[in-house]
Amino acid sequence: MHRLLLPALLLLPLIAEAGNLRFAEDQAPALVNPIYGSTMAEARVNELVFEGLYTDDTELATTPALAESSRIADDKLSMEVTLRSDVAWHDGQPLTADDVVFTIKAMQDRATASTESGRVAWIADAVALDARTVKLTFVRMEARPEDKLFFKILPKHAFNGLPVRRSDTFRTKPVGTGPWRLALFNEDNSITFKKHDGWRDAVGIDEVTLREVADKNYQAKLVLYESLEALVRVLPRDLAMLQNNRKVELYPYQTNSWWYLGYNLNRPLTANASVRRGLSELVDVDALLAPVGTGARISGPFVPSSPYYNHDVEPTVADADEAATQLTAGGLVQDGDTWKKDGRAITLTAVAPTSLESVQEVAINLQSQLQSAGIKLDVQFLDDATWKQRVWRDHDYDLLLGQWTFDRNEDIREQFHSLGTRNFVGYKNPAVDALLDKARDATDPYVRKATLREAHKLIAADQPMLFLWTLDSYAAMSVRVKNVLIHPFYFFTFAPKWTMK
Amino acid sequence: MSPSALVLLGALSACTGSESAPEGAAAPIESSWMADLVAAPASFAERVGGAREGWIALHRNDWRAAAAAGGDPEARSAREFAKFYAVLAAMDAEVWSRMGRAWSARGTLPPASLLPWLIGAALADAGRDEEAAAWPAGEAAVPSVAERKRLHDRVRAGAADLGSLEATQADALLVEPVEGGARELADPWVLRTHARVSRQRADAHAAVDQALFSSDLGAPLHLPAAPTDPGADADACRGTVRELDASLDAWRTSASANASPEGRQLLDDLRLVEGARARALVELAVTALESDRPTCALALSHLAIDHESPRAIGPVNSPTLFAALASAELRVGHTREALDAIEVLVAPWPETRGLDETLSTLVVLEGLDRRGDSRE
Amino acid sequence: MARFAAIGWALAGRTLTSILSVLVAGTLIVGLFARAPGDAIDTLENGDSVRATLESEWGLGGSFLARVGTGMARLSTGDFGESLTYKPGVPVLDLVRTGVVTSAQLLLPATLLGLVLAFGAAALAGGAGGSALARIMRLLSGISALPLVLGALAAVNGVNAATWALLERGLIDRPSWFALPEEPGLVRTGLAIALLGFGSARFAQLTRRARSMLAVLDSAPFVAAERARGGPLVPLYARHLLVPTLRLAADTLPALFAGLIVVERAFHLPGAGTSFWESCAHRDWPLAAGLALAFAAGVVGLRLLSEAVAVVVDPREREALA
Repeated sequence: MHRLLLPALLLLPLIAEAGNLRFAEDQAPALVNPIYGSTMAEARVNELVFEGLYTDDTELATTPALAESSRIADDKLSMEVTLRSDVAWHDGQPLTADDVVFTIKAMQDRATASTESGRVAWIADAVALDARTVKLTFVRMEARPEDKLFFKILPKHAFNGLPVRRSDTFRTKPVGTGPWRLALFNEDNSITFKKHDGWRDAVGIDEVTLREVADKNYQAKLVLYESLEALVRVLPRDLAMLQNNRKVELYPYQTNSWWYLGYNLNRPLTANASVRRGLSELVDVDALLAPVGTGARISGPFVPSSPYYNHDVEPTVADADEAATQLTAGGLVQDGDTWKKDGRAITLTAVAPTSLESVQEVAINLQSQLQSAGIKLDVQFLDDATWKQRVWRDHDYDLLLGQWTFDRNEDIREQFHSLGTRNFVGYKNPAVDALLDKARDATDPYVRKATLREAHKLIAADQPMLFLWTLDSYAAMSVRVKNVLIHPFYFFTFAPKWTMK
Repeated sequence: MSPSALVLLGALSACTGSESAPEGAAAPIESSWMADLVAAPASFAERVGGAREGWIALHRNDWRAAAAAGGDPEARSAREFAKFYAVLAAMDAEVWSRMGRAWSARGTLPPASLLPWLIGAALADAGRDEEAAAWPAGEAAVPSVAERKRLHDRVRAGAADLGSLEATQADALLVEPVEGGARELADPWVLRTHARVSRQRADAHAAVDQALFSSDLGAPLHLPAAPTDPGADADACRGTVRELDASLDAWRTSASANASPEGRQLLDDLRLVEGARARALVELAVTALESDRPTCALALSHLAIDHESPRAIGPVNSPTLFAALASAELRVGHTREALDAIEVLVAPWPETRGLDETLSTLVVLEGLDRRGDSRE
Repeated sequence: MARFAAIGWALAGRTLTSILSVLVAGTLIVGLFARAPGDAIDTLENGDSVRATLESEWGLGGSFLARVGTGMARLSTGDFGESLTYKPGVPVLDLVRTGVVTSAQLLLPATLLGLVLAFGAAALAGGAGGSALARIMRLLSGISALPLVLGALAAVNGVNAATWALLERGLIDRPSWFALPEEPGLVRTGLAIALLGFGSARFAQLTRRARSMLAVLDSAPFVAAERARGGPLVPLYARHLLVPTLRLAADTLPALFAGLIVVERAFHLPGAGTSFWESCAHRDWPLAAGLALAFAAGVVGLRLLSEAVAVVVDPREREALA
């Protein structure tokens, strides 16, 4: 017995710091499989359970994860990646090159219907040269392919070959190489993860639990009540409450997201630039922002701290006289308190997604402002599927309230290029197209910066959207969680180093 | 004592390394200027005298207005300027250094550009001679740039006024036309010029009242001992802040209970505790930066910010706070987050525009090959 | 014998009608999903990138009639398939079974509670008009569901806030049911049952019907006779109220199912209601159809049961059927 005492005592601080970290998501993932998961909740869970060949280090520079080393061919058309030899899957099987090849092939297989297939579209072929070496051949030359090898690797032995299916049992019994393994997928949609004892580094927290808390307003309260240890995103209205609490700490992080009021350029009325400018000048954006939270006004498709933001372009200011001038120029007539087109009072339909927090407040205030200015606005709140149908496919709206979130690279091409797959407002400007193409191909950062700032200026002038604001984003963590470093996009990337009392 | 017991003791003491009690915890706040003011609110008018407007400006971190008021507020604001520009100047050198390294690593430094020379000039000016040696030196090849350098030298020597820089300090130093656009290169000396001049001014003034609206909480606040694991530094510093907060909370509760209505009003309206706390944490953050403890500086800066208005300069959020925050973010490799912090300073402090531009170039450079993604 | 045959045929006819109405319910759901804006693929992030593959696999391609036809053809052969997006890969029948069993733990007590309260309120409200209790019961019988929902949510928040204040002061230990417990607890479940039974059961209407049923019985000659004889009235009332009560329960069931969805969502309880809500939000038509069929089967099943019991215990019902 006394021989066990010393090791046990030595382990005591670790045991005391093991803990169960509970965090909330608005909706728990339906499945845990990184080749299908692409909501942020799923991305965060994948970060706990799976790993990629490369990842971010604490300075957000690319660093090997499952890869030990790599060598890029001189012609930059292929690379060889050597895997670490000390990695085991959660079921004890060793990681092999076949797993990497399998993952890439699965994502590229049409029958798999992977929603993440775009992440491997640049890989022409993947071959296992031996148990630990993979050769990747690219579609075209790649200067830094490691930056694109963040996608998570799946275990070949856990599937019955290709194609992989969403309905495979893997979805609730995933096998990864990550610092935690999925232990329980509970009926109430909570998920329990336990530390993977075979992980190559120490993991500071024994257990992580995802709790589904659909009511965002309640999430902050649960942190205060010590029923949760982490909140991925704090609602702006809860900041003051949490800031003053000594048991919780706030961690700001950069999300590159902004709100906008989009105009449907496929509709005759809103296709008119003067009408759009006039409508924009009727809106008191500061008054819309005030009840939502703290943030900064924007004048274009970037957040103000973005290197691409053009500070010479001022945000739109409410100006009733100027608005009247613009609306008149756009062919509208003011009849008493009402604006009319062709003798009929203007009624616009605005749509907003129910999933966007605080959108109801903003929409109601917007409606009230436009009503006072003589324009009737019908507001409809749409669930995700209806939004996709009406906004993305049917373009069945006049105005839309929405939010875009970009990763660090802030590529707005899909939203504003005439061929962009997310340009559902129907914006077309050949000059902007040319600028976006040039920015994409630029190898000089000064040139890319200047080009996108010019694009900002042109887009702001065209007003396909009234650019509203960016909000400050915070995570909240219990003070019991130590050594916290949060990844701005994936949240849990550095979680193995966290500890808990 | 048996060998195993010694091992046990050693292991136990090592295990407590990251949790050791921070040094210089919780000040005796009762002896601070805050306590004096709350106890005798009528003394405030006497204390500020005829420079009331200046003191109020100093309180809300409007140093230019404080300087214009003269007297002690001017002297105190000179010190604030000196600290502020010192942090920015150090950060500026770091940005140039990182940009140089990142671009060199890519092997695509523009050949016919003044940029490599500017990188060397920035590093040499900052005293980072070893790094500067890797870059071109000598007189600038472009006359306008050489002329600008000479102007900076004159201002630093006192032969020209700082105002002679003001008209152009926010503009690009040089615009190089390149295929597909233009390269706007920033002035690598401006912040160091401001730092030197402000240091000279601060040394020339000696304020009588050093305490009012200062970071003084009755006794100096120290950084905790650096833990053996640098990864635990942020937590150690957070521990210091928690202890400070516990003391401040306790003092505020008793002060509020015992103070007169006027005293309570002073405490709440002027946000004396929040302001003093923030100033103390910012000073500590600057010390952490100077001690090469950027994760500690980052933690302290985050804890100092008034999150109810996180982008506004005011009684809690000073310009130095944002400078320290930006510098700390940069030093831990979070260049994009550093841009966030600097952004707050650019409009009121146009001399930071060059730093902002160089930093933004670095951010773009770091992400040049990365795939962009977006979601609703 | 002929009478029994006639009764048998009549019941068989009613059963067939019930089955058809269940199928109509299923068709309605499949049709609504086919017509609804957006589909299951739209609920996937980047779903459009895999639309071509998933449309045929999930039965989402083709015209409205084609989708309805294919869907109903599958359902009528008992092929409910798997959940598409809510719980991908889980057989719908398993989800329906689990959901129904879980929700029955709320529904059955809630139905009983509603009926007991309704009859109790009816009996008391019909009593001496001036009594305070009777006035309270008359008032309660007029309350609708909405203030109850809001009141219940406020009560939950209030109780949590008060408990936290006591915890902070160190006056109590942390209760197991406090703020997001690991398991659904007695307090939350009890509140859900009360809300469902009192609110969703349309208490006012239940009470009115109960009062009318009691009034009819009160004025029945056989009751008056028994009262005059001094005999026991409770068994008499019980026997004559059995069938009408079963019918009342069957009539209340649709409202209870609707209430179940709201209550399970509001209290974050697992069950058929939550599953139905989520299946609609996720456009998971096989799961929604399965649950809708289960709900419809529940309603028609209870109706059939009430008719069968009526035929057994009430000779007038036998005559009417024959």
